[in-house]
Amino acid sequence: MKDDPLSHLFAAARRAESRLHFPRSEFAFPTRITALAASSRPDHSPLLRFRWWLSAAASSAALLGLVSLLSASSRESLEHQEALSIFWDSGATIWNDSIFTPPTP
Amino acid sequence: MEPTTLPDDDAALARAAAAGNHPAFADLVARHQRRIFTMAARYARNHHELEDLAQDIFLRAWRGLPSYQATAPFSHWLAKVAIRTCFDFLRRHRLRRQCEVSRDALLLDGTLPPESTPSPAAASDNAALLRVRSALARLHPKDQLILSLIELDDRPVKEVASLTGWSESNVKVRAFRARARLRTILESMPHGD
Repeated sequence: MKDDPLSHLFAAARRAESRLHFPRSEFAFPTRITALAASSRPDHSPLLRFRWWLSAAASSAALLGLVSLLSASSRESLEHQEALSIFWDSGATIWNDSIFTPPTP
Repeated sequence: MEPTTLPDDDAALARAAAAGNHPAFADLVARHQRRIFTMAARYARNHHELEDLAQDIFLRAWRGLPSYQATAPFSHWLAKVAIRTCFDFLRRHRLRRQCEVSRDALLLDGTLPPESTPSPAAASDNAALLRVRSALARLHPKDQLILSLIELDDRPVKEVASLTGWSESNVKVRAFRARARLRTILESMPHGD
């Protein structure tokens, strides 16, 4: 297996790779990557976790309140609509009866 | 940075870095960057991509450090992170790479040692590396990864299986098929490529 041309080609490639260097990239890379890393990792401090839980609880409570409000409002609205439709129906009946129905002789 | 206050071994440095010690992380990066750059240079086509890829690998490592348990050497854990990152990179850039394989030459030119005239043996090795990279770039990302790990890193199948999460038989079969494809590609390439 190691005598085939592909193995020889890879062996030569390995030797060339071992001589590679990255002067433009390696220079100051650790410092730069560390600065980037420091700004990228989420902070897991207890204070931040407490603030996160607090804001999550506040958001949940606000959401729950909004849902309840919407639900009550929609219930009221339906009842209101029903009352209004009864009102208008009866009003129209009275109006029709009194105006358009000819007086009985 | 204060090197005297930092621990000597990778595992201790990783623990310190996971606890938020930035100089410890910088030391880890300095220790492993050459290996990471060498791996990333196989897939990146220019210096910008190389730096972006190496940066991505180390940032992923930084974010994953709290999960490092030191049950395996840090270099092995970092290699896993690097392999996943390189694989993601290859999948993202696959179509573009197939059209731009010749740009590998530019990258290699920029990373060769500064000696103006390499020895004939070194020049021959450099040509071989260029040829291998150009041919590998024409393979499926999984094939590229497997052959790079086995042939360029000279890692045993068992280790490649552990690094990639694939079974040993899967690695063997895929490597066998990838070599066959690579031979076909190399035969179709002019020797000066």
